Amino acid sequence: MIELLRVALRNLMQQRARSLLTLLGVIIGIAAIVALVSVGEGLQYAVNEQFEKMGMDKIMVMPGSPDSPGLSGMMFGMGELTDRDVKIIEKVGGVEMAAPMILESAIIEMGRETAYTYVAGMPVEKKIMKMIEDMQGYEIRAGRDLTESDKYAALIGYGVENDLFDKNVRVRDKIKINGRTFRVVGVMEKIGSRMDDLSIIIPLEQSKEVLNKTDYFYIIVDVKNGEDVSKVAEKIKHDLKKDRNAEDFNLQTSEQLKETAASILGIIQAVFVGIAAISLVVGGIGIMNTMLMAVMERTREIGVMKAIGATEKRIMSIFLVESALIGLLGGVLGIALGSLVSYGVSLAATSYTSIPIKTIVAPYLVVGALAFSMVVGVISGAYPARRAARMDPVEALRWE
Amino acid sequence: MRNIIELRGVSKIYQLGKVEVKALDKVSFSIGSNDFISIIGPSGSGKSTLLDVIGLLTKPTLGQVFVDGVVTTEMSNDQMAEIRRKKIGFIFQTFNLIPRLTALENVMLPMWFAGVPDSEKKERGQQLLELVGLGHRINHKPNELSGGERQRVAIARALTNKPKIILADEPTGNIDSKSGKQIMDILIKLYKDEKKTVVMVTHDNSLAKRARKRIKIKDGKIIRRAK
Repeated sequence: MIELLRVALRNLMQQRARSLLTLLGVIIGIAAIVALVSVGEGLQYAVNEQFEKMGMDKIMVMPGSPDSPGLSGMMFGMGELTDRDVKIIEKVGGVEMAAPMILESAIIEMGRETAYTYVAGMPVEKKIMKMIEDMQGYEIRAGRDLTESDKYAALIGYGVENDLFDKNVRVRDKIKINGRTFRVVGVMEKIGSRMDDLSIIIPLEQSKEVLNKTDYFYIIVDVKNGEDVSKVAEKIKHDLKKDRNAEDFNLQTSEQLKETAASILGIIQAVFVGIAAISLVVGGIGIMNTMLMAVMERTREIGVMKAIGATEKRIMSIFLVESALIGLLGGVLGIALGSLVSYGVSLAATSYTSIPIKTIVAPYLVVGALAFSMVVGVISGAYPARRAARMDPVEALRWE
Repeated sequence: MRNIIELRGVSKIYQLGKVEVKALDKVSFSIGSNDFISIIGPSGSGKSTLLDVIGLLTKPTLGQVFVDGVVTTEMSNDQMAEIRRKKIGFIFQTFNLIPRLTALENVMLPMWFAGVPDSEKKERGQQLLELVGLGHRINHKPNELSGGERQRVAIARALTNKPKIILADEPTGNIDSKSGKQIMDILIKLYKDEKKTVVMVTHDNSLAKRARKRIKIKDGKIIRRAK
């Protein structure tokens, strides 16, 4: 076996350029698979962590029918969530609190400049603020949080502070939202998502006034400790349905949201890995091509080896080991390259989005990729090797 | 004297398009152990095909081939390979050394197929190369050797697994006459001193005469046997 490996390596070195090009095909395929799987897993991990942060005891109630979440509510203007719904939810057993939110884009003015961005109206009761802050993961970087006595006060995101206007917006600056003057009382730490960072948070009552809205974008329900979240969700659904006489709202527990996100990520990852696998198939075709050429070039050699007593099995193994070696080497280098790429992605993700995606090249991935690359090598080499083994010695010896 | 090779009514028919070519036509003869036979004939006479059949590189269309008393006609490819490995050594007109391998490695190749352990392979390879007078060139590649030297490497390779039979196809055809004489001397020595059976195909009458027996072949038929 060691001898076989030595012979195979030597044969490959003989046609260095061709072997390297063939190798490259496998490297790219394996690297793509390793990078995509590890980035995918890192993403999955990051998403899970976000949900952990948000807490698994939350229920989101949104307008729109559950069959087409979001869309029908917006399109037909029906199924609006109002204070009446908040009251019903608060009365359901097991509910700690219900926090309605308004979200709408608005015209923002500062000095002579005008810009558009999102304005979110949130209840300013301390415990609700606290819950929302925990969920969204924002922290105050400068100034202070909104308090119950605030009226025309605003909390601005990182993007609003730095990017919205020529001049940075600071604490105690005055901005106009849809024409009403608000005082900036605090600036938030960078969150990472563009939409969150470009938001301005104002007290709920004032947002109804300046945004001219009475219905809510969604209602966040906090479930009491020790209560079964899905049972509470069922009760809320039942009560709301009875009151509204229609199921024109949509309700999701954090568990469901997490699962939805995970399954979407899973599908995306499967598609990408599928595409990467196709590139590996192309790499395999490259191996087959190279091996067929090698068999043809070495026809005479095969004849000689047969004449001096090599069995068909031996001839076959000589070529199979060669192609398996291309696969294996391609696998090793591909894993190295793929890990490098995924490390690069995690660095880029951390510095550009501030969502720390820790990409993981799991041991199973390494072993799997190695096995897969070798299998590709063996499968692609099987036909050329068989052809070599089956060659007629007389014809092979006379080959010019 | 026991027959080491025996052919009974051997015919080899090739299909070239719609034409049937009879490369061998009911050939029968036997070769005893420790003998030196030359097969002579013009090109296209079937002499190379005869050597292929004797060397178990191909099966006859009709008839039977016995090697060392065993009928080979029903054997599988791998069984024939085993006999080639153990009992037959080939020497070709164009040497047929593997260009990537050194002289020593070329000689060691049949031992690899035979599963001989590493240390023994090296030792025996060296001995054989010394025997053919190339002890000082064992690490040279074929393209660094002259034609005569290459053929001597090929002879060493043919001897590695201690075969009883040496089959030589125009062994001096591609080398100068001085080296050719050297090769012939080695072949004669193998027959006389090592007690091998040597079968040599040639179209050169003066070379053929150095063998103990001559078989003349034309159109796939033996036309003359001479001592």
